[in-house]
Amino acid sequence: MRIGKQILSETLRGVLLIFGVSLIAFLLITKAPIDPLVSYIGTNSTLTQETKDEIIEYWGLNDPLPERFVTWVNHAVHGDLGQSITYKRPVIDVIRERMVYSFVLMLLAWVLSGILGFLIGVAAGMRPGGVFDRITKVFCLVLKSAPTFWLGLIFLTVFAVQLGWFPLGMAVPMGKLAADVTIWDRIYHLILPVLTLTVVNISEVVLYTRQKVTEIMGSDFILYARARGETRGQLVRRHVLRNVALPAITIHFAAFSELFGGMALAENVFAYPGIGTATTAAAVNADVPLLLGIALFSAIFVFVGNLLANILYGVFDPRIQEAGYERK
Amino acid sequence: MEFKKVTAALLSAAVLLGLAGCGAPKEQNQELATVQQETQKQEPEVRGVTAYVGTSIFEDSLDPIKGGMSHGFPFINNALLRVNPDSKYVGDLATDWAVSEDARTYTYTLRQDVKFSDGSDFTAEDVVFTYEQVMENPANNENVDLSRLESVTAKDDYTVEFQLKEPYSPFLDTTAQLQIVPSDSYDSGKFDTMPIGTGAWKMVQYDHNQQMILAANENCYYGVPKLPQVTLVYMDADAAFAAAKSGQLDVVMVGTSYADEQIPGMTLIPFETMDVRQISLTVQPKHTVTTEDGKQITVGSDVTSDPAVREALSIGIDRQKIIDNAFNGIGRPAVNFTDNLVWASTEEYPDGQVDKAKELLENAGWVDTDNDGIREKGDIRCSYEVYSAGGDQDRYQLASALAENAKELGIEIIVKSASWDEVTSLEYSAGVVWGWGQYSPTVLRSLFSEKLFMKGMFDNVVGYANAEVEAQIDKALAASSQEEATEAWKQVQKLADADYPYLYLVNIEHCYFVNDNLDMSPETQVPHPHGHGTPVICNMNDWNWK
Repeated sequence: MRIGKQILSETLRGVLLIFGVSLIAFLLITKAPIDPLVSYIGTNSTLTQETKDEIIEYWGLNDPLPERFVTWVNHAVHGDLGQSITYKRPVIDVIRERMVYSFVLMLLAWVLSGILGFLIGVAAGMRPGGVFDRITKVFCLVLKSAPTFWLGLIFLTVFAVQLGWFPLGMAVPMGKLAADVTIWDRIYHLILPVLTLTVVNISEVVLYTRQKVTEIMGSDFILYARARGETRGQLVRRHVLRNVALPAITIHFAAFSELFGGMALAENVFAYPGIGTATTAAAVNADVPLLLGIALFSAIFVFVGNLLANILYGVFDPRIQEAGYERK
Repeated sequence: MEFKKVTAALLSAAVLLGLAGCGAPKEQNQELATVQQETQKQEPEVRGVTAYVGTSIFEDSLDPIKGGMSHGFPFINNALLRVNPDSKYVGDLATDWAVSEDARTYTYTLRQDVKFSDGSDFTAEDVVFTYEQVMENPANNENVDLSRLESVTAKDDYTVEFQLKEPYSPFLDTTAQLQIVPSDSYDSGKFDTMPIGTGAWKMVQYDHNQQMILAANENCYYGVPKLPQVTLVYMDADAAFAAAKSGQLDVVMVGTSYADEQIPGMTLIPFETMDVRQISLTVQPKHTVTTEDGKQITVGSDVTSDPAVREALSIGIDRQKIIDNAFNGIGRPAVNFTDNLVWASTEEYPDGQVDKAKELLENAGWVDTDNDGIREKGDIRCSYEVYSAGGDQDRYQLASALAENAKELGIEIIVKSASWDEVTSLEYSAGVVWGWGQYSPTVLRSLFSEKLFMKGMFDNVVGYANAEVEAQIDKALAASSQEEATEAWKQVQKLADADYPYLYLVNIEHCYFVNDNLDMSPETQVPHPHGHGTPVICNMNDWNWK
């Protein structure tokens, strides 16, 4: 009964969120200085005014705004997000193809920044004020304030141009036919973007974990455990990790939205053919259907991230599972 | 103690993991390098070329039916005519053409023994199919205007006849723009990225936002390309420059600001263009106009509507100095369209006439009364806003250098940036840095015809209206021979230029860093039309390793 209620409330929340996002995105785009007719037929079009009026009539561009929104929602619900002007293919196909690229990139960066960040955070937090801790802190604060594209460019300059270790952008080698591209080519091209995105996302986990570890190390039960004669290793395994894991996972899942933003920027720097480059291309070409589709997709992505975090709390901490959502 | 070991172990594991990640592909890379070396050893001349020629080629459909590659440098499909390095039209898929007395019938004789890259024969049927497709779907093609074409018929397998609704001399340009697709295998969905044509290249692979891989078409009737493969890559301009620096590109298009950079093994080559940069100087006094759809738009300027201001700017500025400051000295001063166009007026006038310009302004009542260096007339300040659209850095620099130069005349130019969408409502009251350069003289109609004011998106933004010019435009359009049309087009420019509605600044040059071992055959390059760096591919079939 309780689980049923939970599922219902989460679903409702999701639907409301997606509706809200699409409404706001729709309003923003209609208020933008974009003429949908011009972005379709081009600025030099030779069409007569009558033909243009016919197209406007056919598309319902003169209908009241609520009516246009309802039409769009109706189509979207039926899986028709329209035709992308940039790629001349259905929006849903474009998103599906590019999602794979972006998803691999984000997943790798997310996992890597999670694991590395957690380890560095624990190491730094065990000796607050130590040399390693101080270096880590400065490093993280610098990273947190550095823009993604700038970091990406630095990495490109150092690793690709000066050292020549990695390729400059793209997901496959230049001029190599798809049939000849190996999995190693793909991995080789992924390393630099993943590294950038990992570094961009790492600071939050590190700083948060470090803070929590410091707190726990100063608590009474650690004092008690020490009095019992536990070594540092035992302390870490038996008490610190267990207490820090949950908040660290929470914060890392909550970083999904930032991960998405970082991905969009990193992809552009590395000319990586994912959702991020599609977003820029869509914006530059006033490709309204694709922009709306991507807005919708990113909302779903972030929502799923948060939902997963909620479910995983239960797995990691049975107390939450028992209490359900009522106490929140 | 134990903790340290655990952390150390975990950290080193992570590092190892990272190294393993780097190591494996590195080996792979070495392997690749060896493979490449081996192929080079066997046939050293067959290495393909990787080039960055800007991103605009990736942004539009390649399908000729939808306006793809219609600016004079197609590489997969061919049109009936093409331009030669002297900017003259010569036969491509057609060998000969004739225009009737009443200028309404165009007859083309087609080349025989031409095959499409899929092996099918090229005949008149394909021409008819192509033109009819465009006539039926005009909304999909903004570049090729067939609105005056009444019918197209195949007289026999190798003769095509076009009937026009009214005389229209630029139809000849149209037949050099629209390339022919095969009627048997045309597929609207596929041709956006993978067209099939008669040209020197075949599209082997198209990766959106990444690259196009082209292979030589062995069936090509004007000779098989010397290079087996050309890869055109999509990148950010800065990333492309970095890629060239690390030796990954053979050709890279750069802005003039890169001209003094050095890339080992590459040389900067500027190519001749017909691409001019000019600034629109609105000729109408400031007022408000309500458009057909009820929008209120500000039109005109009380500063540039004074002919004295326009003339003073045109003759008073120092174009060479502006080019030196904005473009590192690359490009040629221009006061008109370029002489590598058959129809362009070549009448020139000296600039840098500061004293004469000042005198003009003073006689017209523009005097600096408050000693701030900028003239006034009554309570109107001699100030004009100029927009550089779409984030084009070169255009912004050009406008800034002009502003610096115009200050000496006591004219203030305020340089601003805007998106092209914003420009569509700003262009009627402020200046915009425009880039023009095309083979078809229809650009003159766009610039000067009163009928087009506030009709086309970028047409006659200055609000120019001159009955004599209009008459010459009509005469040119109705001409039955190119000579007659050219004569009228020259008259159009002569009359309109006397009013200085546009401030011409520079005939730009397209700059590329080119691998020292690559011969881009400059003698077969056509003067580049406006095309954001892409036109260099016009003679890709002549490129070869030295």
